[in-house]
Amino acid sequence: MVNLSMMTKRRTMTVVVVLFLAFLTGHMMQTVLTDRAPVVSATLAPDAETVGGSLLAPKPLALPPDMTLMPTLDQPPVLPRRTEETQTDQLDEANADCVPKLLATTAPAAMITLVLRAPCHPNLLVQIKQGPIIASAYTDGDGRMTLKIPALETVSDIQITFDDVVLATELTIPEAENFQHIILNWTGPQLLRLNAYEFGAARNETGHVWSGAPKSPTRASRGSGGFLTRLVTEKGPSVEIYSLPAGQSQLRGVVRLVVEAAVTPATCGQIATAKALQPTAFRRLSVTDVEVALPDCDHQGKVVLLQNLLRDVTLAAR
Amino acid sequence: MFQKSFIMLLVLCWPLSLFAGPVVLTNADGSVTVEGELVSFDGEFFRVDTAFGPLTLDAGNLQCSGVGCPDPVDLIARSRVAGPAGMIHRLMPPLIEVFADREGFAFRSLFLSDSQIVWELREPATGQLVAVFEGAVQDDSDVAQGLAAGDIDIALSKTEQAAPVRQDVIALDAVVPLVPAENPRALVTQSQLSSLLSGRLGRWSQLDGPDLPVVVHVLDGARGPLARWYSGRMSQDAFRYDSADALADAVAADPAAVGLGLFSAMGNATPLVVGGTCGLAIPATRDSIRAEDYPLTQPLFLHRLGTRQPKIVRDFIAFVRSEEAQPVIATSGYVDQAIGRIGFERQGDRIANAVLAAGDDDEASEAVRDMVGALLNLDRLTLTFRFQDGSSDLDAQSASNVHRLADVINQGEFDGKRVHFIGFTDGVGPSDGNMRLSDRRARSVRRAVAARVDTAPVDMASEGFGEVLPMACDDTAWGRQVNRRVEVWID
Repeated sequence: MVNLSMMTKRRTMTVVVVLFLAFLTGHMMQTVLTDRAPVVSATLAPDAETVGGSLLAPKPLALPPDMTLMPTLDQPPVLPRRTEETQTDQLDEANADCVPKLLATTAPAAMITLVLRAPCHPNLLVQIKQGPIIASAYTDGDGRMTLKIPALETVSDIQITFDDVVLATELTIPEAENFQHIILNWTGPQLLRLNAYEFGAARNETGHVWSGAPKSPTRASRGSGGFLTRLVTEKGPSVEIYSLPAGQSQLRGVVRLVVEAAVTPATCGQIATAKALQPTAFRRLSVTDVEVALPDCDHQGKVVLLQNLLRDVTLAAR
Repeated sequence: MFQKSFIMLLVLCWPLSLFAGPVVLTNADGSVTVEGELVSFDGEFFRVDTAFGPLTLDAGNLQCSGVGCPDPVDLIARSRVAGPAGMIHRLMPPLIEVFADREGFAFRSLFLSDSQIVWELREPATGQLVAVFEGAVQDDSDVAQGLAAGDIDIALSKTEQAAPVRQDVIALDAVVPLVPAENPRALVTQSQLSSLLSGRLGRWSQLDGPDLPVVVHVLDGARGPLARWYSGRMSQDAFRYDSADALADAVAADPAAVGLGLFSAMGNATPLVVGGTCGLAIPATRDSIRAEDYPLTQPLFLHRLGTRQPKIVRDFIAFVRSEEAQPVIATSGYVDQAIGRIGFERQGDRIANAVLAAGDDDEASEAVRDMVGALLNLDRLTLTFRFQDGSSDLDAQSASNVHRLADVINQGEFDGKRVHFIGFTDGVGPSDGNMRLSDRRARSVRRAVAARVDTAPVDMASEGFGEVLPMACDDTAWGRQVNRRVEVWID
């Protein structure tokens, strides 16, 4: 009896703490990340078109907003539906000791909200691993980090590592089955971009989903299209995930997927390496290794279009 | 001639650099010994240059000694594959991945550029590389040249080739007229389509559409299958594309567009159904393309020279042709060649048409009654035989169908059943002549299939019903071509 009432109390506290933390860290993230020098300055990411996969003269693209570099924090945090292995009862004491805490909750559109509190690890690069992909992000000056990542499986294992700390959690999100994810995963100071042109949309039109216009999970929940999750750092592993609701009757047609690799001072004349993951009829995620030779440094500021790396997605068979 | 082919053999030998040096090959009891320079080893056969000329020997019973012997651990099969972007990037990857799974190999796909991709197969336990397929995107003429020059081992192409190139039809596609989704017109006659493409119909309002000029978009190369039916010129103002995807995107975005694109790459455009003035129309669907009832079908070929490929490559090609691979091909956006069944009850339209066409003509009505009686309890297979224009020779897709049907019969799929070859003609000429002609064609197809069937307990029959069951209107060449056919029915 005692235990039960304590648990109820804890649950309530958790909710409150999470809401507060999510709000706070969300706010902090925006501030901190906007202040942080962008991974790539906008002048190095102009537009370009290719014919037959070769480079053509670039034309400048409008400056991507600073938001480009932020994880999606598009809506107020919602009540967690499920929490596991997070020792949330100690969250309020965490400021006092150095034990890092991880809280994982589900958010709409089969997203996972991760809240990390590591008071003794401020401004630290943290790796986030889920299934076959690894992303990274920084804790803020107080050792906090909040981000959202799509659940790739109905049962998702999430691992967070930094220094010699490993925090793991597992979430069951049945809704994950209703989404398909197209993933680009890479490491280091490369500038790779996933572009989804939904149902005939042209560049910069409403249906063009990319880091400059990532759209929101709400859009997917409404069934009106996909959204992009971007977890990118210059030093660690980075990931862009395009998530599209599958089996939504109002969505029909073809989504074209184009990857762009920018030629920057850091990447010119180098091999762009990445992994591209995409579902096939025979695998939940089929992996393709990418090793694309980028043009030399005379071509800085241009973008190489990879139009055949990802297969277009067709929704609702005719 | 011999010398030339031997030089070809040397050029094509795989992988040449690995093998150099003398070997002695001895059989199990030591009774036969062959000495020579090892030219190649494909995992199954040694090719040795001996004092008696080049010899190919089954490695199964042989011991190899000498510095030239291949280290089996280092043996990697290499195959260079070239073809159009869609076949390299959409068709091949799932086929190789599923093949690797089936053979128990670990699979890795390595993307190098929009025109280059490498697929690797490894022993899962040791990580030892077993086979490397190097894929390159090239257009049909380069592919044909590359194959002839020995720069390519497997050529994927939509262009038919003659011997000595060995060819298999591995998938199907079709040329389809496309309009944007907002175009209200769903059906045109063939002559209307011709007028649209040639520019004679300049405004959509002439077809009761919106008051917009007709803008023509054409895929280079799509005229191949179309040229058989449409000899008119294309509009001078037509936009031309070398990528079917780019064409579909342009058509989908242009309210005034009509385009000629590919079934495998319709994107967000909508296919326009082409009918005849008699009211019969055949939309492009997976079934109608497999049955070649849709007239603009385009077979896709896998070409190779007759030289020996490494064993694992031969296994892969056999897999691609197998029934097992057909569901994989179906998911790639291309049309597979799985043999499907269409029940008699699903062909009501066709039969109703036949009855209506027979009208009050006693002879025709009797023919329809005979046909319905014969086919009532049977299913039609999607596999159908059609002939080259003005000839009794089968076209490429149908020639490949002879092998497919014989393979399926040999595998026992139709054991204890009767396979009916049912011939039909177009409506040109007297009906008794057509009756005889359809009967003759059905018999010749039956004989061609029977010649490839071992001794399966399958009964084969043939019959002809002349022009009584048209699928398309006889008022155009493509309609008549669709109607001249041998169908396969089964109980």
